[in-house]
Amino acid sequence: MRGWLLATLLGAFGAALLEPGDVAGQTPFLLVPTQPLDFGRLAPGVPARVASTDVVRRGEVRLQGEGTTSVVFTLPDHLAGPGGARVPLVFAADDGLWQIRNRQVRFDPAQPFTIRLNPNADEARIFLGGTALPAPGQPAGRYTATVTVMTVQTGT
Amino acid sequence: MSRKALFAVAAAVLLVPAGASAQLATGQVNVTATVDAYASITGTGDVEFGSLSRVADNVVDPAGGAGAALRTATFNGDVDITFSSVPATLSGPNGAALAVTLNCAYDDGTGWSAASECSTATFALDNTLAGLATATVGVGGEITAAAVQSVAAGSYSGSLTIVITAR
Repeated sequence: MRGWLLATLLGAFGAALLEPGDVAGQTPFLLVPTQPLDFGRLAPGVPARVASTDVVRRGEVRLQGEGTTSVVFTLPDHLAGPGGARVPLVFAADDGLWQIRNRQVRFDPAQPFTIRLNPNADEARIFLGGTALPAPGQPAGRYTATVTVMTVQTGT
Repeated sequence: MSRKALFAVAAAVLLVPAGASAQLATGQVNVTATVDAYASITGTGDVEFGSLSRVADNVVDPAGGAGAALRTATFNGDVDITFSSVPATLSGPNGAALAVTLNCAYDDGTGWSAASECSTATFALDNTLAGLATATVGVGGEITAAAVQSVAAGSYSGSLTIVITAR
């Protein structure tokens, strides 16, 4: 229901607000995934955390554009694996980190936040950490999930 | 997405100043992990042939028979169970060797498998559970009466190794 409502909202506003004439004078925002959030190898029964400062394993998406934008994450609550097995995922309030040049700001990925990109800022790098909680009897194998990031430009 | 986040996005869209535009962009970040294979063998107890007969073959049924040594295999994926360093003889007093054939079987919860010689056996066990699976591995064997007749009295022993390997 929520997904339908959101799709309806976005569909309606997207159709209304993305008329070709409306975007004149603005640089469209672009989200470019550059690195998966990779927990690597998990031992059954042993929680594994990837910090948002872990340059090797944290997830990363780059936000390019100009202006002010609201960013929202849709976070999965589990990784899906073989035979329908699941590894619970938890995202803490400090698992988000965004960076523009040398400035870094932590954020709660469960909450929307705002980024302003100045014309000379190039881009914002948005990082995501998290914690995986494999059970003691967790079936072996590869597990995956997808985080969706959405931005809504709210100002110039 | 939480209701709070949903309304925040909706509000963000609604609060776009007149004359400006709102643009949506989406991206995805993949999340990956690989859960390692886990397996263990637990349990104690020997294959016990007891006092050997010189007139009848001495047999221990590995499928849970009297004198069988039982071990519990626990695993979170598909595994193969094999046996290494399987002795063909048991060592006795003054270097005496007593011929033995060690046989193995397993019970994965559906009943005991047929017994086979441990030295060549490979038990392929699949984990179809969303969790740990267990199986019982039994070891027994046979010492023929003829073999007993040709060795000195005394205590004889040997050992083998159970190997559990993730597939």
